[in-house]
Amino acid sequence: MIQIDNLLKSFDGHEVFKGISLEIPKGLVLALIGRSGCGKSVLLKHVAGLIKPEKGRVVVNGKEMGTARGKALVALRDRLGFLFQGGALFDSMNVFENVAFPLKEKTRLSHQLIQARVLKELENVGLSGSEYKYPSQISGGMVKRAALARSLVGDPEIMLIDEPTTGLDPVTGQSIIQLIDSCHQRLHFTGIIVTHEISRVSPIVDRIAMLHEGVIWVEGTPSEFFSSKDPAVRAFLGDT
Amino acid sequence: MHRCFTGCVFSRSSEILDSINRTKVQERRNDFHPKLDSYILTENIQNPWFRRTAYRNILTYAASSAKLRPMSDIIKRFGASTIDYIRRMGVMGLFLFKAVLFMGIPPLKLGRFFKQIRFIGMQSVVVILLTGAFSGMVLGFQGFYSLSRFGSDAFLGPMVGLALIKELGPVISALMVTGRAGSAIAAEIGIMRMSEQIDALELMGLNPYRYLVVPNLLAAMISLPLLTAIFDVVGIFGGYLIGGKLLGVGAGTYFGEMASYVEMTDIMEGIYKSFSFGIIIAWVCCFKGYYAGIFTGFGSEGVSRATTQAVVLSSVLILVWDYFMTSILF
Repeated sequence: MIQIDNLLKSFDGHEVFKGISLEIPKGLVLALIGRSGCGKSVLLKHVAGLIKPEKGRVVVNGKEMGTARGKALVALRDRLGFLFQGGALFDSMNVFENVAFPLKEKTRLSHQLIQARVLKELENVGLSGSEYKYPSQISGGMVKRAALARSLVGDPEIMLIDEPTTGLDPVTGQSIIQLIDSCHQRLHFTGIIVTHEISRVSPIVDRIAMLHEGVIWVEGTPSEFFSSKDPAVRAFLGDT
Repeated sequence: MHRCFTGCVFSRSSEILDSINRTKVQERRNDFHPKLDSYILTENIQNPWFRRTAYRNILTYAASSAKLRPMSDIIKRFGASTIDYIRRMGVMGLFLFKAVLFMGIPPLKLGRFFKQIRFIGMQSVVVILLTGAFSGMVLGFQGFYSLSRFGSDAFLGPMVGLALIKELGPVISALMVTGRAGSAIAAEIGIMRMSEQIDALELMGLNPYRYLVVPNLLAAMISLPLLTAIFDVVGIFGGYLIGGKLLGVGAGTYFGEMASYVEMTDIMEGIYKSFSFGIIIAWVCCFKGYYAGIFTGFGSEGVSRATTQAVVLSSVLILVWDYFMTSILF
């Protein structure tokens, strides 16, 4: 479903990726971890086609993201949901309008159908009653929930989730993780979750990959990861 | 930063002094002036002894100090910044090309278009009314006193009319819209860029040009000529208020002479100008906002820089383009 082959990328002469290769089969969720600034979000944006690779390729649903243009790229993105770290809600629209926006723009559904679907999605993420509030009027956790509802409203086959719990208290963070898990159970999407909080995210993911020194340093199941003797993994887990 | 004749650059003037001290120039230096870092280099350049000694010493210093940059490095940096500048101009040109291209491809986002018409056009009317009225009144005063010196105060109407219709109306309206709406457009799009809202649009498979740039471009192209027309009319009446009512030029003379001397081509010149100014405002302000974070730095500082650059560049381009349009249409 998602295949990354020997990806190379550098910014201003600084080599961020030195040959990243990764494969995520259909329906599985992978947690991508690594130190701050190692390029996790950049990798996610490569998968979404927001950043073009210097070398190597990113293949999503059999199509190369780096070379896709126009309608082919739009078709690929139609199957993709992206939860931004800061939510990226449109700040001039309320929560309802934000979630309804992709449906209004991308489908020919009637107003009633869109309303029903948006309200259902908001109910799924626990935002009933906050439909007409603006992003600046709601908490960080609610922004994440609204952004999740917006990214899920199109029933994506692939979900890219960038640091879903950052900036949230443990209880809200946990509820977001559970929400992502329940959405995965419902939609069976293929996903990448970029996170620092691996212990919290590991129960809901199938695999864990660690990005370190520009390459995928280790990759395996959560149990393999936690039992790894690799010094970089141990240091990341705080066992130095 | 001092550049010296040896082809090296000292990062600090104190380093120049250190270098010179080591060549025993100190005694000679005292003969000239007490505070002499760059002075020594510029004044003693013709002195062969100084040149030889300093050159030898600076080469030694260059070899030992990483802070010295050879001339090739400076040329490289200059070349890189020139290429970068040209590249940005290319990106800016391409931005306009894409915006015009998407303007011709349906569907047009009508909701956003009308919203921008309201924002750029309707909400600028009060500012235009005020500036138009006072510009016309000032022209009435100045024109009357200048023309009455030659006994030609009867031509106040044509003077005010032509000045407003051909020049002041389009230019002042455009500058007002740049300050009021252009800065807001750049800031809005810049914040959308910084908070990844533009990325979110792209990831929904929606074209940001169609949503953010085309409605602004169309709205500015339509609003500016209309605002200019309002400015002209209000300005002409402002001129009449002063020239006609206050200073005694009759209404018949003021408007009659104006009707005789102002032709349709003059009005069209103003319309063409304001139309092109609308394109400049929307193009520059949308571009600066769209590329905030890439060309202007990140965060709130990046947005503020983008907004400032948008207003300054738009204003300068309006005046420069006004000159070229006047040369062509004159």
